Amino acid sequence: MDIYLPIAEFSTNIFVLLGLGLGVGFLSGMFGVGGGFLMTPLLIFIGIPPVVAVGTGTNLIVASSVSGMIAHWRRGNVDFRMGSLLFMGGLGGAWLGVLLFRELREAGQIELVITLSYVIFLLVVGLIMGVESTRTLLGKSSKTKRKANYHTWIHGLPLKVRFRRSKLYVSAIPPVVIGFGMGLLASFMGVGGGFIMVPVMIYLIGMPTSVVIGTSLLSIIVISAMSCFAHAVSNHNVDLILALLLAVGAVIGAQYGSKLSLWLKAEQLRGLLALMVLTVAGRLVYALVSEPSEIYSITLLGNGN
Amino acid sequence: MMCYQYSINNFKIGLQVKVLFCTLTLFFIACVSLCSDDALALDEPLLVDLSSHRIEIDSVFSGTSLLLFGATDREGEIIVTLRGPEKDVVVRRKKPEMGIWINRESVAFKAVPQFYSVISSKKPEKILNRDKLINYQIGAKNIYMAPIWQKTTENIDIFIQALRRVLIQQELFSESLGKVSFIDDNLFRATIDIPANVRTGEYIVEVHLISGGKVVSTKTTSLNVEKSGLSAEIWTFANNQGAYYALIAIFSSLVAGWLGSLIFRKT
Repeated sequence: MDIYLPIAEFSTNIFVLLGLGLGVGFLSGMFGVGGGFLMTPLLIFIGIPPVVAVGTGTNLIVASSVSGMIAHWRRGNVDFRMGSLLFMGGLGGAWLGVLLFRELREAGQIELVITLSYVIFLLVVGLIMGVESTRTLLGKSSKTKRKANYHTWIHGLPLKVRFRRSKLYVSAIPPVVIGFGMGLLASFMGVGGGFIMVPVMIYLIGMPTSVVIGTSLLSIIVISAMSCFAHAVSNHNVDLILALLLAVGAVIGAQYGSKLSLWLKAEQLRGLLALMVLTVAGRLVYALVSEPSEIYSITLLGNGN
Repeated sequence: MMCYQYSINNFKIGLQVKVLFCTLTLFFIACVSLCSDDALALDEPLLVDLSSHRIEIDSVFSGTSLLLFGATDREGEIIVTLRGPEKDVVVRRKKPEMGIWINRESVAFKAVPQFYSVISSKKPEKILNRDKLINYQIGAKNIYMAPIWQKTTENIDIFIQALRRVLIQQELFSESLGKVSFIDDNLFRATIDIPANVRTGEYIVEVHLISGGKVVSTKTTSLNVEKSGLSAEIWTFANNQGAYYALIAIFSSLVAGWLGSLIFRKT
């Protein structure tokens, strides 16, 4: 059964979209990642314009992060003060990101930039996961233990704020900067970026692991919503129908994924995910370096849609 | 899904009725022409009409065809051109830079029709000479492309050729989409195929009557291609009221995620 996506201006089978949502949701539930970094390239592969895939991604992340955030909120694992600093940075990043996105789109370079950012992002993520899983499989722990009095250059920065929930007294600058980076990632790639945010918050700021996931989920929702808003207003590239269809699949898939993750060996699956991520990256690299069948392309002047 | 089904049935019935109506009209004209001794006594040398002046693109649209019919008062050949809405476009060319194919040079063109097709009773080249074809802009090769700016050192003719080639590949331009057939000396009909990826806007249908290597008469009629149904409303809303659309999109995502967590909390 085909469905016409109004903003993507593309017709596709409804079950392809539900299945895509289900599959990515399943993986994200299993590994506790957002899945946006797999969803956007897969959408591009099935023929959705990259610009729309990114815009819609920002909307999809909101839906797929809500249930996890609610669960953490109930347990009191959200640091709102830290969250609000992340939002502030995120607002700036999302705004600047969408502005740059628009400029690049008019210059005809946006598809290249999206693909390049994904290649870099996926290669980094895939290599880190691959190395980590092989290490664990070989019986070596990759995790360095955090010392009680954990001090880095971060703790020498001014504008210190007390975070009760996180039991921290650190500068407000790092959270704002991290939020800014998340905003850029969200608006350029349509990903939440929890994959990067969580380790950075733990290792750089020294946030307790119990609070970090809830807090990052909340800030991912807010920052993605901001980029979604900015995209919808200035680029008109958020496809609501596409986002909702994918969200239905993703929400269901995530439930089963997280259940299955209790039964299966995490390291082996992590290795498998690494392989998948690298395959997607390879496919994108191939698209960049292989000679296109038609080297000329036509876009409307002004808005490149 | 029910409403989609309803609309497609409705559309098909609508088309059948229109085709039937046209056939009856043609039959009537044919009767009149048979009854009279001479050729058709028309007030004008050329009369034409379309089976429909409106095409609606809904969520299940996969192309359609239109019936064009007409009458002439003399012997001659017919060339029909269908020209879509005009938009300014940029043609970009990719070049390998350090192994990566990147858009480098570009040329912008003014008012390029987003659809163009020709249907004729004989090949246009056999009916009119080259100057006339260019003059009347008949044939995808003869559409005038006016550059706005260029970011290339090369001759822009290469870009003009590429523009035409890509539009033909996308089935938006076509050299000849079928044939005008004469039912008798005076009556003709043609089927115009509209592809699924047709752009919305105002289309102009020009019908030329050619006799003795000259355009004797030209008739123009219009065709409107519009989006219809839920998808059209969403598109219009998203493009005209981006902020409200964004709020609705964000809110519905929040609700979808929340509903998901509600449903699965119980199980």
